[in-house]
Amino acid sequence: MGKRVLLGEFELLVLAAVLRLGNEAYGANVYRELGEKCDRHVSLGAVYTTLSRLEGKNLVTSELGESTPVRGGRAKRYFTITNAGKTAVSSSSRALMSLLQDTELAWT
Amino acid sequence: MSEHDTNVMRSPRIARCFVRLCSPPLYAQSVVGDLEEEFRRRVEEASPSVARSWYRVEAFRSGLRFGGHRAVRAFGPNEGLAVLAGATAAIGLLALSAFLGLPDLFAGASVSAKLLAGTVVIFATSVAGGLVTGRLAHRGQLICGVALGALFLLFIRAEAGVWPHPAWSALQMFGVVLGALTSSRITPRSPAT
Repeated sequence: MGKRVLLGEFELLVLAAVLRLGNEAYGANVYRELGEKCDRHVSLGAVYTTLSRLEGKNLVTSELGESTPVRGGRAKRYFTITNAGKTAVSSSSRALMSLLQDTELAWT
Repeated sequence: MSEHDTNVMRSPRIARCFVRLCSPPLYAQSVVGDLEEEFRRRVEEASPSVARSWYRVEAFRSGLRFGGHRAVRAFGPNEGLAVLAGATAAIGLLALSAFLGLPDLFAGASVSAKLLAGTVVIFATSVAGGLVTGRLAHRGQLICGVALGALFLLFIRAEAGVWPHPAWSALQMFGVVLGALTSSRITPRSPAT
């Protein structure tokens, strides 16, 4: 059985955003997603340092994509969640839901 | 499109350079590209001045974040080195504060007291700078660090006006090299990310 990965709250949000964005998961999109969906207006640096940490834990992988004129000719770096990343999101979410079960914050 | 319009559509150059320098080499291109993309979106949705203000703040926040992240990675696993760098910097800053903040203290001081204070200030701050840059800097950052350090020393010398001797420069260089060598000998450098 593999070592269980513990996720911080922000790591969980970033991983969920990468999962949700699928093939369009690059820095600026993750940054916007966190701002719009979670009301977390963090810096782009915070997003990248978290993605770097997740990459170090093998929860995401990244590769350079195409460059576009709107980015001043600079390439996007796309992030993809790994199977270990999906497992980590799933187990962290389940742990949170089981803790909140039967409390006033439980949701159906 | 006029030249003025073209300039307005450009992100602030200094902020762009700052964030590029602070970013980990692996992500630098993507970070600057993402900021550029978001900047242009804000130019269209709001206004160029709003977008430029946003860019400056965002570049500063991100730069600090990358710097903090790198410091934690570099010093986090080695508390001894962090304490050594902190203590050396504290001694240097205390001596510097005394030197600049209390001119009366040194006004009547003997030449040897001034020499001793100057030596402590320069050597301690140089070693601390070497310890930190030896752990954190790479390529352009190292060049910028040395340039900023030299400017800082020039400023201090102009303020104090008492250490024009080239021996101080040699002492400064020796301190930086000693600090950098010490930091690299204590622990190997962490990866650039």
